[in-house]
Amino acid sequence: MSSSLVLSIVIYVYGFAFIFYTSSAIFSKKEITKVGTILSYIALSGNILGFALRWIESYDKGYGHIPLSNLYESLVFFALVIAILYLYLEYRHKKYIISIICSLFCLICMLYASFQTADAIRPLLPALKSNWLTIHVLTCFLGYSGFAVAFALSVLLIMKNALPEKIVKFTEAEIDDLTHQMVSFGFIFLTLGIITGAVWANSAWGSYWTWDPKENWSLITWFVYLAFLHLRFMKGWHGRRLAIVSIIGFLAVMFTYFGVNYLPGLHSYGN
Amino acid sequence: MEKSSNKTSIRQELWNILYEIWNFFASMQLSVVTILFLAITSILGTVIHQSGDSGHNFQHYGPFWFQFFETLDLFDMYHSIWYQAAFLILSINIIVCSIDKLSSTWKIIFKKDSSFSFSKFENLKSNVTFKVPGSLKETELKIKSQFLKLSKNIKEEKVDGRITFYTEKGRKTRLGVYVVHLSILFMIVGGAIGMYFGFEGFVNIPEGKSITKVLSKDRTEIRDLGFELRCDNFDLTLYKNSKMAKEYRSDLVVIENNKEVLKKSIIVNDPLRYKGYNFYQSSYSEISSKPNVMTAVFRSNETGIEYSKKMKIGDKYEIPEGLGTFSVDKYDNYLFRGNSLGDAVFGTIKRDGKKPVEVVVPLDHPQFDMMRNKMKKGKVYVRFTDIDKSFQTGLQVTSDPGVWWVYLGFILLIAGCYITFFMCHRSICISISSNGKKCKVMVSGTANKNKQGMKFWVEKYAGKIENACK
Repeated sequence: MSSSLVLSIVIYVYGFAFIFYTSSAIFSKKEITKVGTILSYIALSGNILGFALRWIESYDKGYGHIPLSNLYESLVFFALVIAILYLYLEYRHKKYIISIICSLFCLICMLYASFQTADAIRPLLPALKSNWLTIHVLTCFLGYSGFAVAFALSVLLIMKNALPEKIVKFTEAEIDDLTHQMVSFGFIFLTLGIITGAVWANSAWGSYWTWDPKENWSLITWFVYLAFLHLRFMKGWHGRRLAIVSIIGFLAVMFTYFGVNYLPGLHSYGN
Repeated sequence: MEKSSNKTSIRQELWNILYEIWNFFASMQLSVVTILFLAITSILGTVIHQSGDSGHNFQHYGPFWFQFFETLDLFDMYHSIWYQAAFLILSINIIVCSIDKLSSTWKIIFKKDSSFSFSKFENLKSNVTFKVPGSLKETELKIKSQFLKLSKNIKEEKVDGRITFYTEKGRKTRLGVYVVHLSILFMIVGGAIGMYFGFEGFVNIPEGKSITKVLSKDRTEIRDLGFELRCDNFDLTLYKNSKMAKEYRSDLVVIENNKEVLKKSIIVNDPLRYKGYNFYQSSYSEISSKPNVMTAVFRSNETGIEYSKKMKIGDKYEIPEGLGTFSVDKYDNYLFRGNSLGDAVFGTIKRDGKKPVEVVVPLDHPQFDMMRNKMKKGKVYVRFTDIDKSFQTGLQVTSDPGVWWVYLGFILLIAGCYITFFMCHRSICISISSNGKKCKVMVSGTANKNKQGMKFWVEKYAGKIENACK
């Protein structure tokens, strides 16, 4: 069984998980939610399996590198981490509203990966042949995923008043707290991602910071979330106002991820 | 008398001004504004091409915007005065703000004795209350022994028949945020050192040649390294069945006082470091399109034996088995039936009493001569392997005395973030009161952050205490 087959099946499973979660909210039936959860676990397992198979396939082709070397592979991994995070939140809080939004994210990631990007396994450029590649991309995407879930929570917080109480179930304070947790998670991994990138750049190209657009945008993103943390801790911001900062932060993440590929620079191989 | 009161009022005035300045730099607004200013202006730097050719920029933006951007230093904004000034303001802000905050939390962090008030814990939403059978004394002992496992430093209070235990953990984790602030300062200082005292240059070394001087990237300085660097060989390896580069490798030798002191083969990601200078594999180029040395392999059709010989252009070789003399004539583009087959080696085989035969081997088609020979039923065919062209290696040369400050900053930043995000200052309280046969136990706790996490922890811990009381 090839990784691309597994991963294309995973798209459908995420899709059905999303459909079941959504209908469970509409009909408020617990049994339907259970199906959504089970589908999510299947999708996550498939996602992990696809990732692992792709890794093995790259060895079979004689290149032998972790599948984190281009946009397709990064999207597959992005979906994987988001799925872990929402299933964790669901398990911990026994509430499903976040799963609706996040399973949609996973679906979008996998769809975009399969339709918009090249999924061929290609050899690594000499510049990318380093153990730092693994740790750098891994930490960055853990960070991005944290921010993605924080974004979902912020959107939920803003829409909360428009939604019926029995669907949301979370109180505003709980969402606020979870957003903060996810931002903290994302922030620490983005920090690690930037640091590992800088150390790698220094060991490979002789400069830890070259003001390359991707570096800059990751720094911009870091600044936005830094502002988020300071506004929360020091200025006591919370609720809607802070949710807007988190949404702006996630827009910066998205630009760091996708937009920068259209600007010239060191990271253009991410395209 | 009047003079002195005047003096005091001036002094007072001065103090007021200083106080204002201090408050200005200690303010949270300044931090957020500076951070957002840096974030927004950094966007400009990614949109406007940095350190580009000014002629090109002039054409691209037109005279007005060119002048405008030029005045604001937007073509090299990361090194501009105002960008540096923003970092300076941020640094001062961090220092002043940290001192300001630390002076008020110092007492909380470093006080000798902990003090607790029951009323603070009593009304917390996250409290867990349960009833256990048994006397007050019994329950007290059970809970105390369990509580001592959590912390050795506990406080006991007996008021109105109610027994209360208190403890606190992780008081010093409140310092985490200051570690983060310190780390930012280290990175800014390191960055400034690198900017003012660092060097960045580029040099090409042809194979077999050496250099002692390097031109800086902005072409304003020629740096004398103080030692000699020679490139013995450059190699380019491709992936199998692909034209993608797998590895670039330069064999470098450091020579000091005519002695070879260090030899290292550098590849991308693995530079040579010597006396504060780093040499990175950055590019390569062919000096001439002609191959330097190549290995010619002759295969006799009769015996199937292969004879190989390293040859240069102009070399002659007497092939065994009396197959003739082969000479390498030239290296050129080859047109075959009107199609270019790319670069090829041209040679001639001369055999006694026979007409010389021209042999052409395109580099991309090493089996070309063999296939042609098969058709003509020739006696020998030639192919070439290990065609070694003359290269020059392109090295990026850097020296950055600030890098260790930055790295120290990185370590502090990771440590500080870990403490700030994953550890907290927790105060825990357990109270026991008895209504005759049963004891009422309340487990309560607060943390300076992550209230939700603390709530979960209290629930879990209350379960543990309840089990211990059974």
